Amino acid sequence: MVNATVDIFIQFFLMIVLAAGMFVAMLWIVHRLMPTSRNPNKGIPYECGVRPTGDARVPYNVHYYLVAVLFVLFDLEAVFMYPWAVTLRTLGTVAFVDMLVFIAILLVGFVYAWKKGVLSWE
Amino acid sequence: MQIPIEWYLILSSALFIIGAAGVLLRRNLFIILLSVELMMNAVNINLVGFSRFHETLIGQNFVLFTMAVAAAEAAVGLAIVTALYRNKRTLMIDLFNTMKG
Amino acid sequence: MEWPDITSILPEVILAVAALLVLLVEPFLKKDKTAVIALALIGLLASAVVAVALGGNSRAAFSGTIVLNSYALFFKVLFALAAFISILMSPRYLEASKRHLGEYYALILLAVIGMDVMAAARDFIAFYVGLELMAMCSYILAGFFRYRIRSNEAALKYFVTGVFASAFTLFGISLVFGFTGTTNYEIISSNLGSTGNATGVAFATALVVAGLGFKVSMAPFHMWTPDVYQGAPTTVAAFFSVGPKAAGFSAILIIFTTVFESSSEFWSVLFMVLSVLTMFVGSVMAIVQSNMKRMLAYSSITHVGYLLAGLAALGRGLDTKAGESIILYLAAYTVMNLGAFGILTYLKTQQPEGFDYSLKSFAGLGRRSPWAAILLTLFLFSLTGIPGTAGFIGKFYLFTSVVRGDLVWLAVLGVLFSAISAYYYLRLMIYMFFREPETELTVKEPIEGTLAAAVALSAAGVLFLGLFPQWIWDHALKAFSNLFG
Repeated sequence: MVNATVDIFIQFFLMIVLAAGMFVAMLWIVHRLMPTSRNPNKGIPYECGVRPTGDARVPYNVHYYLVAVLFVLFDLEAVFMYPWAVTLRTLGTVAFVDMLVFIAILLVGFVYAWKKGVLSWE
Repeated sequence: MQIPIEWYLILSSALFIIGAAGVLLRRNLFIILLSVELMMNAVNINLVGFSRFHETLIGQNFVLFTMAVAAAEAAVGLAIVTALYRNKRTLMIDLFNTMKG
Repeated sequence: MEWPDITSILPEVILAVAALLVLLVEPFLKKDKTAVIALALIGLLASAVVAVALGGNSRAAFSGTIVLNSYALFFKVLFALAAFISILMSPRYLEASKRHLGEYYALILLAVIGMDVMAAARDFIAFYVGLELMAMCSYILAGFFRYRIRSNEAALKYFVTGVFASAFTLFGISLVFGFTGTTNYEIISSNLGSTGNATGVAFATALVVAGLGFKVSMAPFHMWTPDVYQGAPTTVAAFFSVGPKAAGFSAILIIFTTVFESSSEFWSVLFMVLSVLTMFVGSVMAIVQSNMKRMLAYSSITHVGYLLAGLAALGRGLDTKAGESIILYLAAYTVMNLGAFGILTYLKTQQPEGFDYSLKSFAGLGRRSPWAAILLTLFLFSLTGIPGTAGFIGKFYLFTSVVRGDLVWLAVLGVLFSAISAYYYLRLMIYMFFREPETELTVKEPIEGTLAAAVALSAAGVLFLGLFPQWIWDHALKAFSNLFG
């Protein structure tokens, strides 16, 4: 059962590889054959018109990134708490203590980030 | 109706190859990070699909771990990119070439 | 649910507590980092001692996902030693580079936990988490000099290639899970042989080889190695060149002798080809390098090539003793490579600005700092494989096992590439003793403090393993006798 399905999968993978190879080959041939003209004016947003000034993407304060990264981390750790919360009754005290250890480790990270001044905003 | 296992495999291998192609072909660092996430998620689909096929929970268990690892990876990657951007002011990967040989 | 038996992960628990304490203490320290360093060193020592004390009889925990047997014990002690020496050589170097932070030590401890788990795991989930823990700490350590573009670049290259590779490993693991419906090595190995799908198993094997090949810098997945070694802090490069490599091989040995046992003919041939390719790329590129950090990076690739030859022999049967030879070689390689990097670290601390690791800057070292030159010569002799040193013993056992696996041509090639390696190692010695420096460089002080301890430890290791090989061979035999325990 498994073998048949995985065989199909491998055939499929081979097909994908062939298709990708064809795609790359075509791109390459076109790239070799096509006439090119390089002109710096072709790269600017408005080829004929006003010259753009400044950058459209203004950099944000780096604190945004730090907080965002911390949020991603602590948010995803919660993924372990859902299965734990659902089965806590059957698993009993051991699972409770396990989760306390887990949260204690997270807490060390939190204290560290706090002391390093990630959370203070000026 | 149960979805056949092949469908999961086709989806996951397609996603995996799109992700791998993204890492190899794109030049912007953020797109590369996103492509890596795509590869990880392709694996997750694989694991969940097989988990259902074999009627075991091991695969889903594994997915929880890969998700947490992927989050940590994203955090480290973003931190590296931020540090690099501060020094270099660009995110185009082929401009990072101070070391050769 | 019963209380889990944590005795078999006690060494890792000790390391974790030490790392967390370092992180907690660090923000409260002002300038003096002695407390943090002491904490890290004590943690490493305690974990090694506890591992030795517990390792007498094998134990398994968490439904057999983690074991503590003589195999895991061997690697736990090896990783602790590598981290210990790396930490000893770090303070002066970080001081000289004006970036001495306590997090450095915590990251090394956490990486060691990851490596320990890789060697002790008997389940793909635990293995994967260990691998990623090690890898993630390495990415941060490579970029530890946050304000230097080269360090940033090293971290970036390591990160992108690393996560790319681990995605491939993970895909291979998911396929294996698909074939067998479990992630436990032992059950997989009995199920995978009976599935009868040779193509599928070969495909999964190749994916796992590609992913782990990145970590141990096997050609053609070696491109990141020289750049990362050059850009990363030297002490970190020293740690990278031994720790993650040994951890990668510890996992490869376990996974390929159990999980992929049924496809051993396939991967034996695969490793043969990769071994020749890796030795070739490493040797040729090492010859043309003028930066000694890059030269050591390429030479480390050559050493991986020798180890892969051992793996090819291992695929021909366990009675070739190739597995034992590989772990013996890893031990020898750890001490000699750390020593060589230790001397580079010392030279950099003496001239933070002037010394750029180029071949020229080694000219006249024999006169300027005879001790450093003599010790570096010892480590280079060992890396070449001159009798009386650890490197010779490692190569002797390894190539003997390759011959036992009926791969005489591969052993001959290995010896040939060792002879080529003598060229680029000896060239450095000639520069040290027989060339006059173009610009007069001076050293301020002799090797001293913890750095001296690190170099002395490595040198003692090189000589001890070189002169009394029986001791380490006995331990290697014992380690490989019970993989599952």
